[in-house]
Amino acid sequence: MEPLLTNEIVGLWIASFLTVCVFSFLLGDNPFYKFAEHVYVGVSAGYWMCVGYWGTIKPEIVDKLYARDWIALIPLALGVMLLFQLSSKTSWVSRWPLCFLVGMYAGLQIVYTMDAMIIEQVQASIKPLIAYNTTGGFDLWNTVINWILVFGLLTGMIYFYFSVPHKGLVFGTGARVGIWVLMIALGASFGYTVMARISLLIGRMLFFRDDFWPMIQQLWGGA
Amino acid sequence: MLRRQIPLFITFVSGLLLIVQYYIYPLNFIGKNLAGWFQAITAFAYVLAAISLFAVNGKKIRDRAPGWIYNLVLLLSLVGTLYIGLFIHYLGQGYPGYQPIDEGTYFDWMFQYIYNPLSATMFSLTAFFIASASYRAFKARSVESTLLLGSAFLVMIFRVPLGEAIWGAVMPTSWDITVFIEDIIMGGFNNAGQRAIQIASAIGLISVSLKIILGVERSYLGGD
Amino acid sequence: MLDKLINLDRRIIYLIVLLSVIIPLMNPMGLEIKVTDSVRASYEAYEKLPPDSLILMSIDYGPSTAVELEPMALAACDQAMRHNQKVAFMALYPEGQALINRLIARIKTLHPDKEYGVDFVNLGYKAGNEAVPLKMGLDFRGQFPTDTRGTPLSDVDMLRNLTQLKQFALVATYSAGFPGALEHIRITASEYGMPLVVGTTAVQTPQYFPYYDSKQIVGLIGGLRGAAEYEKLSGFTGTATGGMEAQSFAHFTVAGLIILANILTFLRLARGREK
Repeated sequence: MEPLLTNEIVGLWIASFLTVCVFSFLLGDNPFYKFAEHVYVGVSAGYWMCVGYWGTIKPEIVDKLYARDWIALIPLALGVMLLFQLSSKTSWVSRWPLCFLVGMYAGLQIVYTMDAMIIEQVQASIKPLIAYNTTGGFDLWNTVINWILVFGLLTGMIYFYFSVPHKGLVFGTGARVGIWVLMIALGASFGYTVMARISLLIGRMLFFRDDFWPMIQQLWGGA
Repeated sequence: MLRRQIPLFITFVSGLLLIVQYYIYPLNFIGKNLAGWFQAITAFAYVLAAISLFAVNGKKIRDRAPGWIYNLVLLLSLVGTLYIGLFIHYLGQGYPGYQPIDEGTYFDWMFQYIYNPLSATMFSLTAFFIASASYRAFKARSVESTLLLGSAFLVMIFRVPLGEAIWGAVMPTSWDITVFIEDIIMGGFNNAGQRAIQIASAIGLISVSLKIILGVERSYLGGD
Repeated sequence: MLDKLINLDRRIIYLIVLLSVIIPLMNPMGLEIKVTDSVRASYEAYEKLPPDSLILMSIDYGPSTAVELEPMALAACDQAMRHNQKVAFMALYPEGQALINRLIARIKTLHPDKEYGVDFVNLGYKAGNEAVPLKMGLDFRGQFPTDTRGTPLSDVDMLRNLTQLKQFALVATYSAGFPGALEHIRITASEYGMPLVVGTTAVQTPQYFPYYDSKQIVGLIGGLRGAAEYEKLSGFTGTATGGMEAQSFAHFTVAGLIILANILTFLRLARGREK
């Protein structure tokens, strides 16, 4: 491993201190955690603003105005109008850019959601209820999966249809089965959620094992 | 007029133009321009957030509200980050790279050793909370909760190498638990359930978007 | 005793979880990882591309989810560099810009012969969520006039002849949430017909399985487990494989805690009925 530079060593100590400050919340709220939390909010707001400026505002507005592309005055004006939200007297001015954003967003949803999230998904759900393998023989495994997929989707959609009471064979039993299908799906989601959360903790432990501890060893070995 | 009618008109026109440019190819240039403006205005929202933080925290410091020291810490962190990431360029001070946010700059150092550990650790706390919450609340009290628990167990235990190894040691090799979870649980039940949720929410999303563009839904405007 | 166990101090639970993660990390067992179809399909999507193919890699995650997504992104970058494919990085997530710098630093260490602008380039972060892939497809050079070093794309060696999104052979997104994979699925893949590989956190993996099943995406890599499978396929030595052992023990711990809680609850119910 290459020897660490001074700024890296200082950085690792600061990173470790901040990590321990945040972990101290597990023992209860305390000044160290509050300090780390407020540093995090300040730094993240500053980070987002800097990256937003250099990545988007500068190329889309500043550079275009320098190049005398006066159309860029429109997004500049709308962006500045957004800042009027800070005062209750002038907050109505920010409605113009907000309405532009909301209108754009609504347009994007109508056009691009229909195909990707409805049509193609419904298409993919139309599966053969008797599946055959490549040699023409009956494929039990894929038949079972297809039945689960087709009737699971139908019963799930029945559950979400609240315009009629969930009674009788179709809507009553269908909704009941739909809940069971959704519970199995959500249970799988929960299992994956546990996986994700534990991964985050593993990441911090890897920091101590692979970054902090080698730094200590380097300092110890150097001393 | 300025406070309601014109904003509603802006919503209508921007939404309509985006839909029209999708279907009429020669009008694609409208989509390009609108998308660029959308991006620029979105970036201004970050500026709004920073100014808002100044206003809220500055007031608490001025009034010496309880815990105002932390508000001062917040503002100092914000100002420091803005200085090394933005003002340093316009104050004519040097930094390696093309922009002050490039690799090797103070800003990059701040990201690696302050923002990175704080962000990662904040979210890693949820690992403890999910374990504690599961211990207290996750009880099999009904058919539905038992199904949820059973499915969660299968994924938690057998989607990790240790579970697969234990299964492989106990069961015949032709009974592959990975295939069962991938095909039946994820490919069957999960796909059916997630699709039902996504199709239902997509239909709702489209209907709400249509109502917004046509001005039927106005709650986003707020009060007068 | 029963009530004490049911109302166990949460700090004891925290300690148990912490130990279940730390101990396996210090004492790895070398457990085998089985590869699933969706990850294999993602691997093959890169593998079948000829040398000099252009790949657009969207780094849409932050430090909080880097532990899951960075290993898969790094393994994919390493695979692309070994096959002499060209990678253009972009980000829909603000933190993605700095994490692209980190990826590039690792690429330079692993492949010192690869050059910025010739083999890889950083196009940077763009605000605007869905508007970014929308404008990318309509006018790629308009969306990314320069790279993060201020070099116009026409002067970047690997992108000299690139004018349209469709000239990319593959788009890959490593996404933690919003904006990210869903925006690319809806616009880059469904609207512009680009082959899309999705790497995502474990939390979101179940919701993207339907898109893999419908073939709207060509591959799906889910969470740390998916990253470990990808490392195994590509032969890349990363952090995901070692992390899976800690994952295993932690999962068994959480599952054990849930079973214990249920047993204790049933025992208390039974005791209540007896009385």
